[in-house]
Amino acid sequence: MLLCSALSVQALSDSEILEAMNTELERSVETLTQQENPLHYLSYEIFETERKALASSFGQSQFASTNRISTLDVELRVGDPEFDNTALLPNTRQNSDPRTVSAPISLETPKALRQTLWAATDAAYKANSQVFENLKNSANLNSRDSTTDPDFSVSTPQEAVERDLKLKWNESKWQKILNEMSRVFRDRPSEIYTGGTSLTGSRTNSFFVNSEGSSIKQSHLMYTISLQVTGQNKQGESMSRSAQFSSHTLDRLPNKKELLASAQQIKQELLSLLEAPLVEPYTGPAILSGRASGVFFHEILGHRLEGHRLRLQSDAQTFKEMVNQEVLPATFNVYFDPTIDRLGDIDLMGAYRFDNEGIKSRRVTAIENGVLKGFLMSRAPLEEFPHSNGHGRKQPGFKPVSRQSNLIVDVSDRVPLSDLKELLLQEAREQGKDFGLLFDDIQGGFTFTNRGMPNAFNVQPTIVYKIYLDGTEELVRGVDLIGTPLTAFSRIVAASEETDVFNGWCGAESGSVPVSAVSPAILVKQIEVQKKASNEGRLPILPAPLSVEDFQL
Amino acid sequence: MKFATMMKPLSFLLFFVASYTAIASEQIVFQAMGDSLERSMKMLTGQDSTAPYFISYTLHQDEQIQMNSMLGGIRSESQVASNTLEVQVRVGSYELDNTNFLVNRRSNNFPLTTPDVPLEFDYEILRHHLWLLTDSAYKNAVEIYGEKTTALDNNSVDYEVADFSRQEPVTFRDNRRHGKLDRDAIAKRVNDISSVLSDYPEILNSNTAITVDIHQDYYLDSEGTSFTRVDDIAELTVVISTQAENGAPLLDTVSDVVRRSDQFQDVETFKDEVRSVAETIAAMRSANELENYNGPVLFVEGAAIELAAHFLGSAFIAQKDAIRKLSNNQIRVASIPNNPFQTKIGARVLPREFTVYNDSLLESYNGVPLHGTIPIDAEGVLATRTNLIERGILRGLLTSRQPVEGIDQSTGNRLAGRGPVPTNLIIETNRGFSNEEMLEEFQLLVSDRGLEYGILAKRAVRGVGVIGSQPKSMMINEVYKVYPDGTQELMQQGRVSQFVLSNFKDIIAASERVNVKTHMGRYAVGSPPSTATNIMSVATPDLLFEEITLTPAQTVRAKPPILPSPMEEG
Repeated sequence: MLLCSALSVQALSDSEILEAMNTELERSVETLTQQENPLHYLSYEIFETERKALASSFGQSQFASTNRISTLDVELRVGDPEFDNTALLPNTRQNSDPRTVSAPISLETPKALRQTLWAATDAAYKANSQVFENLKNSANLNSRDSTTDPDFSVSTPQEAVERDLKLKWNESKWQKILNEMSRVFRDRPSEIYTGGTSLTGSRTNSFFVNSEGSSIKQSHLMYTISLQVTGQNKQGESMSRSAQFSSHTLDRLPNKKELLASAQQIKQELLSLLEAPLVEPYTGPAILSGRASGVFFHEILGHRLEGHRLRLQSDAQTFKEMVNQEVLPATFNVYFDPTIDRLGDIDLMGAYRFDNEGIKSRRVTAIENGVLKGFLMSRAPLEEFPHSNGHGRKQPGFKPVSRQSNLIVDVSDRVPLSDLKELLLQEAREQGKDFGLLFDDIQGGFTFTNRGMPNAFNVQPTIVYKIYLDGTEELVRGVDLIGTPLTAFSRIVAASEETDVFNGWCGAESGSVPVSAVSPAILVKQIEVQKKASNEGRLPILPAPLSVEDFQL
Repeated sequence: MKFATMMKPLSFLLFFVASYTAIASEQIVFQAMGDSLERSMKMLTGQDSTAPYFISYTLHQDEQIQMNSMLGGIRSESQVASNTLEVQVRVGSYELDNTNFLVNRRSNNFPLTTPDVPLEFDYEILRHHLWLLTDSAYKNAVEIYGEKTTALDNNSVDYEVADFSRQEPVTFRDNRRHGKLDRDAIAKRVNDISSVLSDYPEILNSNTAITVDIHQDYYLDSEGTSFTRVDDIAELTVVISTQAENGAPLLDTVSDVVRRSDQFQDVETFKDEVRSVAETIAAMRSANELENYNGPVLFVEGAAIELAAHFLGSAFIAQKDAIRKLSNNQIRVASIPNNPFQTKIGARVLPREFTVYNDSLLESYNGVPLHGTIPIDAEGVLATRTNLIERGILRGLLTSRQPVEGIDQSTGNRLAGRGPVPTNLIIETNRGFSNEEMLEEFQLLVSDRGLEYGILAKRAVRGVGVIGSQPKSMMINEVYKVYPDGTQELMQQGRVSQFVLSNFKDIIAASERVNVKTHMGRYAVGSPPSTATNIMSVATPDLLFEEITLTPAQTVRAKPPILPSPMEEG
């Protein structure tokens, strides 16, 4: 029952698609700029996405799927760049809908393509014109502050057509590899409840045109291999371990030997976790591995550097007034660079050439020698940062806002990891602690930046060790790393020579976008951990039906 | 000649290998299910808490292609193959068990499912998943059962109808052949059909969707029932929409629903039907708006079918009242499945000329294939014919293994979702009028009422059949005013409103012409209600009612497009 037929590619050429988009765009601009509420900006972005997935469970093929979809997003602005339908007025109800006018679209016939562009533009104009009319009325009632930032920054046109990338794999070969990997989980039926592996691939061709004259076609590929095992410890707590590898091309994924080793590793880690003791709430020194530190910086620093938040009255605006002030140790530099698609052996998923507002991507130095230098900007300007720096990003169907790309933490003064562990123990001794903590791996995290709630972060570790004063390490479980940003930054004391990469997806107002975080391991003088939310269930009433000997391994 | 001679044994060998593989797979599934069932029934009975009295396993094997096309080009497509395991565990007894009980509006996780099952059947892995799923389902059942018995003990509620009916064990293997998934042929068909609408610039939006689903169920329960069931569905739907000159939205749907894609009607015939609907809807743009109307309505063709399927079809769905525990620990009987027909068995519900039955085994009617046909339902009850209305008197209802007052056995109609649904619903009259006689009768009614015109409803949109006594409404996609001189005037779309089941008693006449159509039936069944979708066929004559209320379909008047469409510009 396995599926193997290939999906056909778009029938129209890149130039035919861009030409049809431009034709319809020009036709709309000509008429809609003449309306009572005139259009001042229009862009079309079409995403043609193909996804394939293979999955395996305990050595057997479990799932196979392929799908392809093309969608259109229309960004249409009524008014002028100073004041348009996206304006944020004080004391008024604001249009907070994060979704844009979006529609499925066919790239196989010009008729279907243009008909959809036309219908979506009409819907977008009518909706945004009405919003703008309401905002004008509100603006008359609430005189607009003269210091209010403009709503939109104009830009110069960009042109680029990237070659088509192909999503292609040898299905039987990869299914066999996935089966071999998931077969590793088969020999502990009483402890391992589910053991699966998957390979997903996605290719996105995006076509962008706007009323400034930009015309861009990009092609992105992403492959991800995932491994996951789950079980339940004696207390009934559900536990899992997983590993993920992402790349831009298939040949840059780990080889079979490395994947099998990874499967063995997460299996052993799960089995150890099932026996691991619970750690109690703790404050004291800790090392965050490169991956953990990457997520730590993404959550506590990165989200607070996203420029659009600093326009919102509801946001805590932690760093808005701290430009040119020291926020990290002087040895720390943090930059965001979507132009780098690889670091050493690892591909970076936060790479792109143009953002979703037609702006060329560029490196943004956020922290230089510990001093805050700038923010991540979309085309929603700030007084001191009036232009986009190519970080207006979104998931198809959403409105773009400033988002992170590849976050890179670069520290000028580093020590080997072994020395970092020594420094940890030294710090623990000085604080009178019996141990320090090592956060070796994490699954993700989240943060709150609004004023209405504590401005805290939560990083969710999966592998945590207690390192006792004699250097012995003990795997523990059941805690999250929590804190507040400015305090956490002030406690960073050292970084390792080794760096690591966390590739993942970041979810925020403009949907889910791929990001990377690159960081050395860091030593933090004092962190706080709290108990994880309980997920205890009841243990199975009956033992596993088959013993290890019954399984064909 | 040599070539042909060599091919024969090879073809035979391939057939043999394929058949052998299927049989081997089936054996693995039933072996794993059987061993798990035996162990679970035996070992869970030995536990301190309540023992299971019934366990069933269903393995759903599914392979599906879906595509959406507009004006000759694919907009999206997906292909997926997956297996899902479903486990039911009942504790207590047939009379009182863990089902049919809700805490507030929360579903009670019955049955439990997992999608983790491999595509290739593997005895050990199936046993592993069956173990974990049975364990979860059992613990859940014990918890719900405890809560239910405590709630019933502490509240005064009549609980006389059993929760589950007993069933003689059945062994059945469905030998019907599966359809094929030919991606390129499916794409060609959907694009070919959607391209028809390129000739209609007045149509502002359209979508042609196709789904071809190859589905097989493997079932085993602790009563000894074991079956396999082929449940393929192929569905083609064209949605056409535009805007009238006065801004009213206009919409219609053309569909072809069959079991296998080789049963779809001829492409050219279907395209003609799409063209016909497109032309009608294009003409409707400049048609007059329907005023509020109360008087005789003649339902013909698609409108008669939808009326029968959704208003009458839903009235035959019998469900037991659910017990709901409220946050203050009191319980009450949920009113959702309160089907007025459940208290009317033996009473007149239609004129005496009418007979209505559901026949799951019927394969064609008046020479037209019926695709709602099934040999066995999802609970292992062999399909049968159920007489619902005889000479206008309600004689029966459609049930699952959840008995209702007065009907303690299943009619074999539990297919999808949580309740019974119609399969092949046949409405017959012993006094069918010719088309001319129908129109004459219609005109007579109009004249008797002193009305300027009567209403003829020709096409209706698919809707969800809602069970209950509340007045219902239904969109009429193609509606005409019929004047005394016989002139018919196409109107903008309308809506039947305030329709109640007792309206059926007032059918004045039915045609000798029979309309037969297979479509996807959608019924809100269960408590809390969820939409159950199943393939069903309906055969009904045209129906003339003396008094029906119609209103304009839409009161929204959107502005017309600012720019002409690119198709209009040419």
